[in-house]
Amino acid sequence: MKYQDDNFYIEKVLNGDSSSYAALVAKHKNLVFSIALKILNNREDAEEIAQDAFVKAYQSLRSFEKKSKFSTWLYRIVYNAAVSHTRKKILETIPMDNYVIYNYSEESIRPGVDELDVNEQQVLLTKAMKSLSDEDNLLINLFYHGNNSIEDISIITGLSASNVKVRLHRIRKRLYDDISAMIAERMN
Amino acid sequence: MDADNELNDDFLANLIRKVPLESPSEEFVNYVMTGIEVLPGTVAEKRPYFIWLKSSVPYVGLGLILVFIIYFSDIPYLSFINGKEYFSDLFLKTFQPLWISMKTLLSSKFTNYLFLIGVSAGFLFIIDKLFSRRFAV
Repeated sequence: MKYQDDNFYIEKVLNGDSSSYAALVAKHKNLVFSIALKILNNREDAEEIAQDAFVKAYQSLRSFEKKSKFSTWLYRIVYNAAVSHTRKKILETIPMDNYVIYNYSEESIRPGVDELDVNEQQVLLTKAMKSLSDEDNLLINLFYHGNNSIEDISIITGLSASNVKVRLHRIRKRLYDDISAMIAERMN
Repeated sequence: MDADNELNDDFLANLIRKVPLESPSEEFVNYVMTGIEVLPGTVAEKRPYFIWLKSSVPYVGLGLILVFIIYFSDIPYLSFINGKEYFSDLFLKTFQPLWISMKTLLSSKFTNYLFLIGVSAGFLFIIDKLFSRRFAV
């Protein structure tokens, strides 16, 4: 389904058409739910927190000053709610794991990836993403699925922009590394 | 490719977007909308006009006090305001009985204490009202 810009629905809701909020919920539900799920690791809890976040956003919609994007504001609400729920502080530091990161690039894995059909690519990526931590998955979802900028992610997670950038670089390189290894494995 | 552009990697982005995000239950939107409908006094209701009027009272009050102080002050560089002296004379003369009764009232220690308590409480109330508003993103 093709959705309008968020501000279109926001204006309608603020003018008394509360049913327009359903479109905003439908548009953002997957990413909002994913954020909650990555933090909580439990579908029921994640669904409850995601619903609460939407209701909270609705109640505070009039105080939303549009200094940031609606989605950034909404993701920040669900992120805070989920973190408060778990009472654990995540994403505070860059994990100093011993994982060796090689400098694989698009050119080195593209031929192998192109040989696969869409389903196989999906399986490959799902496997590679499963090897990442939930926090890393959360960051790539926000960056690649949500099209959020580094500054937006910094607002949502409370991390510094430079920290977000460093983590995204590490995740990207690690994904290339994993995909490359999996392609090599398939060939052998 | 510099470090910043590396992140805007279309190849990897397209690959990642092929893996769909986890989705909540099919009834998710309905649950949220039901939650919104049962809420008392939600955002869809516009703030009544008198509430806007009421919330502006402290600001208007402060503004009037400021104008009053500036207008009737003896600060020399405010004397350029045309007719200032005429109005202050007129104002002072018109309300002379009030000034006299106020002077009598304020000369009592008891009323002074009450007055000071009232002013302090009023000041604290205004400060509380101004700073207890919720800050929005």
